[in-house]
Amino acid sequence: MPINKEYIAKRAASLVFVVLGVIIITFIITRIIPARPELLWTGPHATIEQIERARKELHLDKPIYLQLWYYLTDLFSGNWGVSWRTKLPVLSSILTALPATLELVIVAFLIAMAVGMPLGISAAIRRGTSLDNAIRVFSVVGASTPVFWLALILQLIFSNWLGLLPAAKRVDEYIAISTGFKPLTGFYLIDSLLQGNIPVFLDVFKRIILPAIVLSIYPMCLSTRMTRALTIEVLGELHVRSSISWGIPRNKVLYRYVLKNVLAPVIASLGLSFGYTIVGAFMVELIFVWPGIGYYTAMSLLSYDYPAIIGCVIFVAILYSMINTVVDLIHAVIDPRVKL
Amino acid sequence: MADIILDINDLHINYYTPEGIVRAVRGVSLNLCKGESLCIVGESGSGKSTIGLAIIRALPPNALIVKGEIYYNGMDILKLSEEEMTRNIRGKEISIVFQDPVAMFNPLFTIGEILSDVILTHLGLKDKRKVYEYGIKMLKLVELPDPERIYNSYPHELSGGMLQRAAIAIAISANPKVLIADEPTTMLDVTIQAQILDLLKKLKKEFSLSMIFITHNLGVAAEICDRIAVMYAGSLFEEGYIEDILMNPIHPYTKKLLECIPRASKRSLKLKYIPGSLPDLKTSILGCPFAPRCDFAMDICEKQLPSISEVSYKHRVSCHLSLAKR
Amino acid sequence: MNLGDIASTFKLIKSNPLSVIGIAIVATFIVVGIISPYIVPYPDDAWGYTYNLDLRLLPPSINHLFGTDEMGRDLFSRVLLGTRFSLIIAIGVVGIALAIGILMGLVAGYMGGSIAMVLMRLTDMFLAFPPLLLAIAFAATLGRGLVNVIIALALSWWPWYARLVYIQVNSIKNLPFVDAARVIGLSTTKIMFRHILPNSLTPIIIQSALDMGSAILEAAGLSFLGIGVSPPTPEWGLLISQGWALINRAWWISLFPGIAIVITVVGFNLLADTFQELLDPRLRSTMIMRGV
Repeated sequence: MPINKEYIAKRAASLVFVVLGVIIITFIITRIIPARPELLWTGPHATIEQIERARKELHLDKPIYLQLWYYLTDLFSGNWGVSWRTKLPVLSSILTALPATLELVIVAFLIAMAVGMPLGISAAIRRGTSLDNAIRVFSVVGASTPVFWLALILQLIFSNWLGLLPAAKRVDEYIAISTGFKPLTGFYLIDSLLQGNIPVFLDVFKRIILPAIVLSIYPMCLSTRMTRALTIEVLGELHVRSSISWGIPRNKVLYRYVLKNVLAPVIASLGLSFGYTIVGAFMVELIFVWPGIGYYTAMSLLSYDYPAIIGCVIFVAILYSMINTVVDLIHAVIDPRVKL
Repeated sequence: MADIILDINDLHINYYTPEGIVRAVRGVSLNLCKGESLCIVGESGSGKSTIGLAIIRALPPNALIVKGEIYYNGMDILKLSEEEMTRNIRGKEISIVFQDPVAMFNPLFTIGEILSDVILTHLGLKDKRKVYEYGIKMLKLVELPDPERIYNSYPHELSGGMLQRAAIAIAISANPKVLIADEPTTMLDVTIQAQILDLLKKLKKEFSLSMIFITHNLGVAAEICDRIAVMYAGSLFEEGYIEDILMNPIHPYTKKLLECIPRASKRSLKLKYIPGSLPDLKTSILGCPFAPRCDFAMDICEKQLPSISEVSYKHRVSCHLSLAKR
Repeated sequence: MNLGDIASTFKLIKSNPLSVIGIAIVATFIVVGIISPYIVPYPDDAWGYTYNLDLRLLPPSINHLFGTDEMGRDLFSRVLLGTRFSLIIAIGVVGIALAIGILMGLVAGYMGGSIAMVLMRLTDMFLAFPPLLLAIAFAATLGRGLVNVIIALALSWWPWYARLVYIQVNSIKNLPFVDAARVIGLSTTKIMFRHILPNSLTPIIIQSALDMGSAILEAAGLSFLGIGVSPPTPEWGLLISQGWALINRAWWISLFPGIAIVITVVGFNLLADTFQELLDPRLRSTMIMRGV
């Protein structure tokens, strides 16, 4: 396991560069591409004075490198602008909404992996059978389904028609207040368990399960396809045949050896899957009125709230890069061949 | 006459490829006696590796054994289920080392992890300590220096020669009676090659192993084998004791192969070769597959596959010319 | 690639039902996309410039196979015409991204050195964004509209191709046949385009097929969020969002465009799978054994 301080330092430095790159690109998008950036920042109903003030605040009369400097310092000092939809600072709104999104995304992701990988492996070892074909069809269809459409249809069926699951929100305030629920970590599922508060736990669970499943379909199907292809490839490699030829039982070869060979690249691609999931969360949160970053971003998009939109883009990009770095570290632990 | 430990009878094996069905082995019959080493020699595409893989049933998924039997100690092992093969035969009675030492090992596991798994499977040692010691003992047996370090190393940290030795250690760790060596030295340097051959000879003697050694190199075969079988395009051409074949080759192909070995003492500096190329294995070949390239080809050679006849003690040939001479 | 190869390729494809389905769907998609303006039952409705208040929100019937929307327009016509816009988007996005990406990747791969480093750093900066996010940023900045959507998506996509090509070129350029070409005296561009590019094509072809489907999905997502095409363009994502508010009363408005998306993207995914099995020699044998 060649993880040492050097490797971590290298990855951290690389992360800093990536974040800088993200900021520079957003700078180019928001300041250089538009003909009149201040108009985007003030929105369509601004007065002449407001537009002039925006010009000053964005330092648009100064040379580019100074603008970039102010942009960087603003971001790092927490001044991410003010949403003119909510009139609240962008960064604090994002941070408040973060735990809700993380909870939803993590649950969705766990479902996706817990279902997707075993499906992929089963399909691979029973290649050519009707089980394999069924799994392939399912994973192709699932990966072709627009998540927002699936959210609408499932919400229609399960909430509106069958009345089985609630349609919106994270938790029923009435139940929460009457049972004395206090959010600690911001993850309601964990908090309610920690406080032994079963009514809230059940309520939160009922509300999270449908959006989580909808959100999980795309990464689930991606991971099924990938796991299946990887397993087939690994199964054809010489070391699998040699282990079997030396007498190691097939099951052991599969679950001790092949699994690890498959896990390594799957984990390496987890970051990307996570990226798809986060963006899917935008739409799922919007439709299920889940008070997370996705909801905030989607509402901002619908009302053309430019500062909020860009704030969300930067935040999610940074989050994504951090997650990728963590994933890289985990990958290096599993695969000893990873170069430092 | 020594006992026959492995008897291959009329084996036919096909590969299914994008370009068509490749008939890699067409009716080959061979046997291996206890304690002897048999070399299967042939060009690439002759089907020699396929036979080795078929014995241990480690053929790739697009291959199929369409006909034939393989008897091990009188029992047709082709009829065994996968379970029975794994439990009773693989590693325990018949074992194998492959050509590519690096690809034989799972890159994410140390040598010791694989070795200990094989030991655990076959020898049922309960104590971790005992498994480790046995593993080190096996690594010492194949003359690996610093076995403790190698036990804890990953494949990419070791050289090809070391890995091949480790593979041999793993293959014989459960004390099999038959070892199949599928071109184990082809991917190694010449000096390492010689070392591995010596090692195999030593192990064969010490453990009374019966060996099937697959190679394209007649020189290597001469080094290590008691008997040799010459294959071409899926058919067996000639088979006999190494001295008989070298002194008295009957089949025109065998003769040509011997002529092609570069000799330092020969006055002519030109390298000899056999003009022409292998026939297309996707077609069913009528007659002898070597006929297009054979200097002695007769009409019957293109029409009918010659039957195998015994020309002297355990020296068999499949050739119309030899049949005609009798 | 001679006639024999083409013939055996056709046979392979015919024997694999999923491949046949994929090709059929994509072919239908392309054909409908091209001729839809001429075959829609209600052309005015399709383009969206009319409204019929008496015909609002009718459920599916013989006259209106998919029902009508809140402006009384025939949904079937709109979905049918939407095929054309999805086709334009798919080809536009992938085409532009391919053009930029291949150029960057070829130049970086073949030139190497500091040019490569700069270009690859640039690519990495783009790739640091999760897939749709950059497109959202571009789309929000550029505004709504079909062309803007295509530009936004293409700009967020070319880095993937650039990197793909770069890796391929890197592994190929050290092969002997490239040296041979250089020794003969072929110019750099000629070597790049005539010799290296064809050999790097395989993963690009597979990826483009996949990406056509993804482009349709992502454009639909952008339209749903309000930063994609502008109304009354009958793009499938926009149609779904228009049905959102009324989904309880008129479920058909959101349902059918979604089904259209699923079928089309499934087609491209199956096509990409087919390409992959055809072009990867190891996988080709699985197609044969399946057909045997």
